[in-house]
Amino acid sequence: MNYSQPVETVVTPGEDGTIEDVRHGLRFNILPLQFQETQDTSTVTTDEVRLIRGGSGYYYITANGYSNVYVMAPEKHKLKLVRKITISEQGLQNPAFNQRDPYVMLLNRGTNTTYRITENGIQQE
Amino acid sequence: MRYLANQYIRNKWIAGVMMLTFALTVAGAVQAQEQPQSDYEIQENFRNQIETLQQQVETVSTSQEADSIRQRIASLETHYADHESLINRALYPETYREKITQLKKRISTTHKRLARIEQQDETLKQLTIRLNNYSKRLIRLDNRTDSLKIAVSESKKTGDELQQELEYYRQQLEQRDQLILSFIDSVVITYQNLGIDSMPDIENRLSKSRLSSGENPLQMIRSIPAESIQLLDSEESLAPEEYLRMKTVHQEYAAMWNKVGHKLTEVYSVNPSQVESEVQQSINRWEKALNDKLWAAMLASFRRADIDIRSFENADAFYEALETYVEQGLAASRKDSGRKSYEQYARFADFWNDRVKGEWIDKMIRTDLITNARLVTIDRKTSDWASVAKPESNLFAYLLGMSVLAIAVLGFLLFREKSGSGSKKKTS
Repeated sequence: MNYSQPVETVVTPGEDGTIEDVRHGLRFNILPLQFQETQDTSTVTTDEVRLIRGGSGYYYITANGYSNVYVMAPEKHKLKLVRKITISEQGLQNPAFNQRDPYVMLLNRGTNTTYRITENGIQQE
Repeated sequence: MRYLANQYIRNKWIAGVMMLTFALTVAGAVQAQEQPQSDYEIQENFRNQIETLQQQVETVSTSQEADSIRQRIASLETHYADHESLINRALYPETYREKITQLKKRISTTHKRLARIEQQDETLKQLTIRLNNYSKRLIRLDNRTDSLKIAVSESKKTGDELQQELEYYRQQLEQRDQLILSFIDSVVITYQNLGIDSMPDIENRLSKSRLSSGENPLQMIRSIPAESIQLLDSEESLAPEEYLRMKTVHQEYAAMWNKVGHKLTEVYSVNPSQVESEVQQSINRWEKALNDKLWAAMLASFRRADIDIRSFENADAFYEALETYVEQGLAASRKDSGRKSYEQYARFADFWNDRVKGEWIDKMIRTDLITNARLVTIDRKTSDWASVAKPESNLFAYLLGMSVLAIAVLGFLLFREKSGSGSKKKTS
């Protein structure tokens, strides 16, 4: 079974932090991940969330300014954090995911860097 | 020397800077090309450009713009060809190829439609120029005709000169009718060829010209019936042939209006249904005025030829009057085929052959005032009348009488001679 999503989803969170990917039938709240980044969930400060599903079924989630990419496994009524991959302490600048099954390519366009990500880890190209 | 050296160094330095700039630019471009692009942005850009082009196709208003859009579509196709697979996955179930093809088809159809409308616009412009020329010529002719009419009515010239003026006047009238017929042909040819689906576009483009009477062909078209009625009302004594010629013009005009009147009012009028109704009423009034004059002129012609035919005011009455006259003449000749009835026949036959058939009948048939069948019937009855009306020859009676007289004289002479010779014998 191949769960790979051909193109990443780019979604602006709602006022309450809800992320809804209608096309792929996914709905969750970004605030827990935002907390991981900023330790603050009083307001939604995440601008655009970028997410993509890999061939194995894991979701890869990040956003502009985030330092990490979050690898999430789908479970009943929730996404469970599998791995938190630190990319840049300064924060990703204009990140983007490209599907390159069997891995996911992460672009850090601010620094012109690309990475290969799987649920097991990361490798810079 | 030092100056030259400085110049050389300076030039070399400028060249070096330029080379470096170029190299950096190329390197930047290469690097930009080598840096992976975001798949999301690629497909988003494609979607956005497709949407923009679709909107442009909807609102394009000239064939030149359509050409430009066509080129942009080709450019889009080339630019995203390498990403077809990605775009297909992003657009599923639609595909990159479908989107491009659909866009190309639409712009092609739109381009053809716009080119056709522009061509028709141009044709309309040319027609409007021609119609304006017709209008000017018609006005000049009308003025000349009016002047001539006044001149003829007030003329103190001699018979020959007056005749010449009258002839010239009639020629002007004929020219006017020819001009109107040519104009009608132009209108029909041009407007009939305009496709119905293009009318709303042309209507939109010409909306300004509805109010510009100087360039509005409908104005001229509307004026023709009114001016023709005016001409008829002002004219007392035209010959039937001339009224018949005008009938032809009326018929062509009515046919033209039937074919293209609705389109013309839609394009050139702010109140199409009202204008259409007005023109139709003008056509009807024109026909009535023309018919009244025509039948009166024909009746007058018969009467002047000493043919006391029953009066008529329409085509059926005309035929019935003719038929009755011929049948009555035929009956009278059967009863008494004397000189009087023969002369009556001769007058009618001459008029029928020379005037009616020689000068009127073609136009009467063309304008549905008489049918071929009716023409044949009158011809046949006239022939029957001819065979009855011809007076019998008295020659035989004269010869018989003379023969009897000759025989009587000879008999008398013979008797006398016999009597004379008998007496001589007795006395000897």
